[in-house]
This record gives sequence, structure tokens and C-alpha cells, in this order.
Amino acid sequence: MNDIEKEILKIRQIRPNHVFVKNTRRITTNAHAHLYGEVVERKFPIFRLASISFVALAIFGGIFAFNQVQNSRLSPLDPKALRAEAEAIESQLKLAEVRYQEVAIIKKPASIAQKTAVAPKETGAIEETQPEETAQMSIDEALEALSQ
Amino acid sequence: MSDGDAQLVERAVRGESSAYGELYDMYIERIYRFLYIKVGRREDAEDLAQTVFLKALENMPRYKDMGYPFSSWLYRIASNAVIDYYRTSRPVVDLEDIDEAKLGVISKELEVDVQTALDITRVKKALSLIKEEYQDVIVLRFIEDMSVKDVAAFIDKTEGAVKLITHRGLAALRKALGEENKKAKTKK
Repeated sequence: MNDIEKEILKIRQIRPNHVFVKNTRRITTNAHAHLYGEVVERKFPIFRLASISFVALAIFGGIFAFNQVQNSRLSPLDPKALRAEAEAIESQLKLAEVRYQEVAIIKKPASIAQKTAVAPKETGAIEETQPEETAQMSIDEALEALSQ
Repeated sequence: MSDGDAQLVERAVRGESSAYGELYDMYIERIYRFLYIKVGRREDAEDLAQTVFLKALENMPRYKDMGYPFSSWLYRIASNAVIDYYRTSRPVVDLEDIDEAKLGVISKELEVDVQTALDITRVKKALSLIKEEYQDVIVLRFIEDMSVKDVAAFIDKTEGAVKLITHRGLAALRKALGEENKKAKTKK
């Protein structure tokens, strides 16, 4: 270190008065607390309100979305829908049955129709064979009609 | 900016007064000394030092870590405060007129003996005679032990420029001190 630097270093002995340092510290830290404390207090309710709103929105949104997803997944298992579907199948079956019976009645051979029309006063043999023939014809006819 | 400074600034901005207190403790002496050299009066240096820390407090949220120390930022505020001080035409102490009585006051203010007060006054006088740019660089480099990089950040120049200014500043100060010593001898 040369002489000039030694001379300059004498300036380091300049120090602030300790009472001034203490008082200014108190003033500045109080000002800090006032300035930043207020900012935090003022902003806090806004932040709190915003965060609560956001959380509430997220919860309701989540629940809504969850319900939507669940509904879309469980809709095939909905009992009402299943019942309606089952009823529709049943009614279709009934309709098919009714149509089958109608076809069976319409397509009866004329001879048998005559026999049945006359039958009440003739022999019981005819009465015994009649249901077998009618059933056999009717089924064939019905199958044919259905295949068409 | 050092990690310690960065953390303290961050904490202070978040609202921790104790962190700002720590920053104050770290820099009050340096800032006061810088201001005292510039204005030459204890009361004015104290007023300005307080102003600097209050201004720093207000502007701290805008302060960003630009890679140089918090002290550089504080010195810049201090430098601007000095400019404002002289703009309002405050009385300037003429160090030529300092007599023994005044030296007594200075030694009391600085809590040093009269001879040290005289030495300090002489160096201070010599510093006031050189260019302000030289003055700032010499004070920050040799009195406040700032690195060339940090001084460069403070005066907004390259490190090479700071080295050149330091060299020229020391030459100018040596000359000024020589003249002051001659004056002192002729007075005796």
C-alpha cells in the first residue's frame, strides 16, 4: 500500500454518531413496517377473497365435471332406461306373437276349416287330428312368413 | 449482489422490518461516510443518510437484482440525494476556512483526536478538489473496498474505464494533497 492509499484510508475514521444511527434505524424500520405492513394488510383481504372464490369455483366446477363424466359413463346402467328398453323388447315379442297367431289363423287350409266348421256333429277322430294339423301348418306358414 | 443481500432485500420487500433493519446496519456507516465527504457537514450528512434509507425503502419493490450489490443501488440513491442537496443551494462549507476551533468540533463529531481530524479534513479537502467522477471511484474503491466490477455498475461504465479513472484519480489526488501540504506548511 502506497502513501496516497494510506492517506485515503484516514477517511475511514469518519463514522456516524451512534445516537443518530439508533434513531434513524428506529425511524426507517417503523416506516418499513408502516409502508409494507399496510400494503400487506390492504392487499390481504383481496387476495383472500380471490383465493376463496377460486377454490369455491374449482370445487363446484370439479363436482359438475365429475357428475357429467359419471352420467355419461353410467347412462347405460340407468334403471329407467333399462326398464324402458326391456319393455320395448317385451312389446316387440308380444307383437311378434300376435302376428304369428294372426298368420296361423289366416293360412288354415280350407278343408280343415270346413271340417272344423262341420265337426261338432261328426266323429271325435276328426276332433283329435285337427289341432295337430293346424299347429303344423301354422308353424310352417309362420316361419315362411317370418323368413320373408 | 451477494446472496445475503439478495435474501435480505427479498425478505424486506415481503414485509419483514427486521430484514430492512439488517440492511440498514450493514450500509449506514458507508452511506453516511460517502455523504459526509460530499457535503462536509455532519447534520446535512445525517439528514441525507436518513433520506437515502427512506427513499430506498419506498423504491425497494422496484429494485431488481441486476447482478451488482445492493450497496451500488444505495450509493446511486445517495449520489442523487447529493445532487438534490446542491440544487437547493445549501451552504457549502469552505474547508479552507477551517480553523482550530472548527477542527475541535469536527474531532468531537467524528470522535477522533484533533490531529486525526486535521488529516481527515485535509484528505477531504483534496478529494473535493478533484473531479467528482475520480472522487466517487476513489471513495468506493479504497475507502469502501468495493470491487472494480461493482464500481463499474455504480458509475455505469466498463471495468477497464474504472481502472483508468482510478489511476487518473489517484494522480489527481496526489497532486491535490501535495498542494494542500504546501499550503499547510506556508501557513505555519
